[in-house]
Amino acid sequence: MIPAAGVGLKASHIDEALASPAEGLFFEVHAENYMVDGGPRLAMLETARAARPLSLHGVGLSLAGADLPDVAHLAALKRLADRFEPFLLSEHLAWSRLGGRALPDLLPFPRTHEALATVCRNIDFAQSLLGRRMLIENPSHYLAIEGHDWSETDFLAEMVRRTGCGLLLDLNNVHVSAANLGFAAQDYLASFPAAAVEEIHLAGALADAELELLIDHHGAPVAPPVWDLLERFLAAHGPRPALIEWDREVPEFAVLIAERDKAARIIAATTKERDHA
Amino acid sequence: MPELARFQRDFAAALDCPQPPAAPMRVYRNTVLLGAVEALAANFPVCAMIVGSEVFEDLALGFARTYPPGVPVLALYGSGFGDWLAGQRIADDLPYLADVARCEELHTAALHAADAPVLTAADLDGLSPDRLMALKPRYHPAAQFGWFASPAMAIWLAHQEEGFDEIAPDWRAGGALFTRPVGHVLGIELDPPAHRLLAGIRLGETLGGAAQGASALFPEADIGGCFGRLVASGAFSAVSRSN
Repeated sequence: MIPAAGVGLKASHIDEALASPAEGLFFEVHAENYMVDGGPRLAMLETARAARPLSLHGVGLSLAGADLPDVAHLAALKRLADRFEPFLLSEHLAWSRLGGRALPDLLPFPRTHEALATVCRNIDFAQSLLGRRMLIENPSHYLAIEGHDWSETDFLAEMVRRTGCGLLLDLNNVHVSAANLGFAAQDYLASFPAAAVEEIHLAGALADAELELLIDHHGAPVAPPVWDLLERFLAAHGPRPALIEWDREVPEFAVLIAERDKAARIIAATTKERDHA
Repeated sequence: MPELARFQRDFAAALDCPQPPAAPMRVYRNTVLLGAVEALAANFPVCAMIVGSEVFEDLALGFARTYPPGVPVLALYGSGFGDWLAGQRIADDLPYLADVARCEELHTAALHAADAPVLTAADLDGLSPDRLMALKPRYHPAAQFGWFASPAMAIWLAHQEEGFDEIAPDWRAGGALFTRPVGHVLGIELDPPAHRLLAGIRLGETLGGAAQGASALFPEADIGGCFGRLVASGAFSAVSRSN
């Protein structure tokens, strides 16, 4: 089976997810949730992996940290990847560790020449230890940071060139960042290194009226502008596997799979159009 | 110090700053704290039921500010929450709460421990009494136990029933054992002889030595039956017959 459109797998959905006949369905999980020695979580992932292709999505490598990625954490990620053989393994262009402390978030940084060198060193170190390529995800932004030497899209393109990594294009992050930092999502996408994109993330955002910010919340249906970005990107660059992330206020499986089916239809329509072209 | 390291140090300091920050920094601060609070709520559901979600969130924020996560794997976050709770004001009103949290720490450790075959009664069939008494059983990786000065385990067990009203356990000390014989975690109240047996085995006593110690302390207890129940609950790892 060719993975086309997937869902973030939730334990509460496991029976329905396994029973789903959806064509091209794949599952994605946060790697850190499965970095345990044994027990029912890993048993569930075994069952899920036996049924469908799996994508492992890490949130804790802190690739944009000044320090090298933590070797114990990388070893845990490698154990998971070696056991479950994911078809995709992804991480974030962000940092989340400082000294002995883990900050459970994906934090921003100024895209300086020094940061580019550090991030590339970290990706290279991680990929070498893992023995696998990773996809790196574009972040969502809330804060305008000073001192960038690079635009984000140029930074990502140079990262791909130097490390051979692929990219995970999170269209909701583009939508959220465009709203919060005041740029045009279409312009950003026009300069995005599209050839390196091997997966697309879709999710819902939350408009926080008090903070006057759009939050990358993963707790709502995908917004119409994000669907529009998906259609345009695929029309321009061809089909890619896409994933619905829904991590809080998780709905019934039927609602989640309907969102996934919508993504699958858009991908299929693109494929068809390109085949006829 | 390189620019990136300096930026990160200053950013983390801004997150920790007690003054309410500007809107964008509040998003990051909220997410960082929420991640820790949600992990604690997931690992201490009985404590959250006892105190209610609002009080629990305040407690969790207090713990997370003092002991932020050290690693990005939050499945095991909250080790030490029970000891921390024992020093909080809420312990005056709810003297059993810290022990319930300690039970939940044992539960979490049992849930995520390594997989291994458990020792079954059939494994021991046919062993001569001498061989049996000379046996040094090894704990199953998921077997976690403790002894508490409060009826914390009775309280924990009562909260596993759906829709229970209220509980009024006798105020007495008791033990807790968590095991994972068949996929999910099993919680059992330990009486003093069972706890003495398990504790003796932990110290490296043979089964015979631990049984003698337990009999000496609790002459009325059925130590054989007690060991049988521990085996049936999955407390021990399978042994090869040649041992």
